[in-house]
Amino acid sequence: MFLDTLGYVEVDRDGNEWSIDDFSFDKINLMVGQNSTGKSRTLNVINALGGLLAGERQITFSGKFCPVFRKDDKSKIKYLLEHRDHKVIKETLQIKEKSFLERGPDGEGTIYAEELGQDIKFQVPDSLIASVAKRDAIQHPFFDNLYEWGKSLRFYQFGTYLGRDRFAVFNENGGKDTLDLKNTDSVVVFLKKGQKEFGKEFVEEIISDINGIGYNITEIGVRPLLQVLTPSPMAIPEAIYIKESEHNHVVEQNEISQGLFRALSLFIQLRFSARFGIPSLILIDDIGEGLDYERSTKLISSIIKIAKSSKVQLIMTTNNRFVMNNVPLEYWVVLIRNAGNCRALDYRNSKEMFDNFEMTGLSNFDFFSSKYYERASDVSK
Amino acid sequence: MSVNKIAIFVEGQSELVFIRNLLRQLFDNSSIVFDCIKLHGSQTVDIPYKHCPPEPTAYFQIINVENDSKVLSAIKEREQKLFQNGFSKIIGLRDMYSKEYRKRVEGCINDEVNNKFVESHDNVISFMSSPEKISFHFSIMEIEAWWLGMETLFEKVDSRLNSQFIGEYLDFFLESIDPETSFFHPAETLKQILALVNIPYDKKLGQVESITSKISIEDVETLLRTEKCASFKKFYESLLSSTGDEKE
Repeated sequence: MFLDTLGYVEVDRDGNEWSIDDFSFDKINLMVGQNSTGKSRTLNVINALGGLLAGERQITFSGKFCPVFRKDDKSKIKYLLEHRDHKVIKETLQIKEKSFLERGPDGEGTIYAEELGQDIKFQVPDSLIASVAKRDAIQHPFFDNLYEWGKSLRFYQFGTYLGRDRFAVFNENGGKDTLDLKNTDSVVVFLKKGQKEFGKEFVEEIISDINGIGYNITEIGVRPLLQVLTPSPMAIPEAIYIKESEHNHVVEQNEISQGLFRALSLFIQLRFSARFGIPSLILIDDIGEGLDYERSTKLISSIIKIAKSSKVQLIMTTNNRFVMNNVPLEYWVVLIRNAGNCRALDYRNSKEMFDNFEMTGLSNFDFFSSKYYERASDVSK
Repeated sequence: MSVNKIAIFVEGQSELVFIRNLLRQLFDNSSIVFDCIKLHGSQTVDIPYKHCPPEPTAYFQIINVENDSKVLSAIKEREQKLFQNGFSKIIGLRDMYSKEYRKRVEGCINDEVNNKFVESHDNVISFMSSPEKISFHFSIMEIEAWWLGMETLFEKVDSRLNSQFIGEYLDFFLESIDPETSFFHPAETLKQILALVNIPYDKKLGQVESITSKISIEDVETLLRTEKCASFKKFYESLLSSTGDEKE
């Protein structure tokens, strides 16, 4: 199931409104825009929506999510969730234009019951989301799509440490009792657990991925971090290490360059995630950040290849010129901000502009850097 | 004596090699100097085609941007600095045949689409710092069309490859067609011609060197006297006028 469009409005505690008009998404998407146009914020909104639908987070101040999902059979699922001051004030669900959920501000509403074949009344606490609180595989199986979508969404912030500053302490079994697949700081755990459960093949996949973007790694693993003095021999933290072909010595996690570690962490997490079922949607903020031309170019090609060969949807953001030049304009979503409102130009709503730009012979980055889209949309106005 | 500095941005290795050899044919080798550069990412890499006579009057910097859709971008990025550094002219050259072109036509040459590409490029140049010093050219549809316009060139590659021989096998006679309006994918046509005598062609450096090194000034002048390859004529004139050395 894909996220087809997303509208969102939020009002902060000072009454300032920030909204995104119905952004439209394809299978592969690259969001570009000047700084502060709302790229990362949009990913945060999508991630928050996923967390809410998976029951992993609670509603906060005020917001209105209007996502439309597209199923494999092209049918649309329209969902709406509006909340204010930690209370849901409106929640609706329509599938193929038929209403399955209508819920108002007091927690009361109607919901379609499959076995009964009719709408029934319900009431949930006004702080709860009905699509989560009323999940029922027999009577309301239609909520499962939303839940699964939110549960299997992954969000990677490429411009951050991606776990480089986190080590792990394992129990006697070499694992952790609970593992949050969404915690992108848990990369040491993902590698160790992946190694344990899937063996050599898992590690070889990662080595192949990382070497595919221009590195020369011969070995990757997890081992006790000897450089750290620990208060007790029972709690020696473990960390990732690598061996590079040109220097046959071990490089420990804290010595691995930031760019290499980000790429490594991303591949470990993507591979680990894929082993536990295909993610619905992968969000990657600031893809390519910190990598040189060669590596960012290959990284983006590699990630697009992974997305193309599976059912996963991919939404990335970037300011990196090499990434922009290597992602076809068909995948672009250009964000334009006007005060508190963001709108998006993409191949679906501005095909002529993108087609005309192609004939200028300029590189994709020029589309962004010269603000061609602003001139072109001014002309069309 | 001041040196006239000209930058030539090309889309690939074939164009670079062809222009380098053409310059050597057109100008007195003791008066020109040229550097060949390849753009990799945003970095420049020197490639071994330096020619440095002691007292040059013209300096050509040939820049291979390695991508047809980046020629104009590379010019746009560097034009101000080049002019500040004393360059008097920038010339751009790319093939019309491209992924973007193929998207708009159905496997045939379309003059209307050609014009749109030319106009779009000219429009971008009109916003640059000194548009009058920049001339941009398309080889239509590919630079190989210009070589196909040089009727006797292939006999120099292999003596069997005269127009009659080619015509017998491939159903066209080089002397009676304009490659610019006849071949949608001239590199493929060139490949078919060379395959007749078991010579491979897939744009490798050695292959391009081998063909272009056989282009003489007579081949060029003969082509200019015909009505063929109008895009070559424009490019040639631009190259000559860049040094103020107009030939008749």
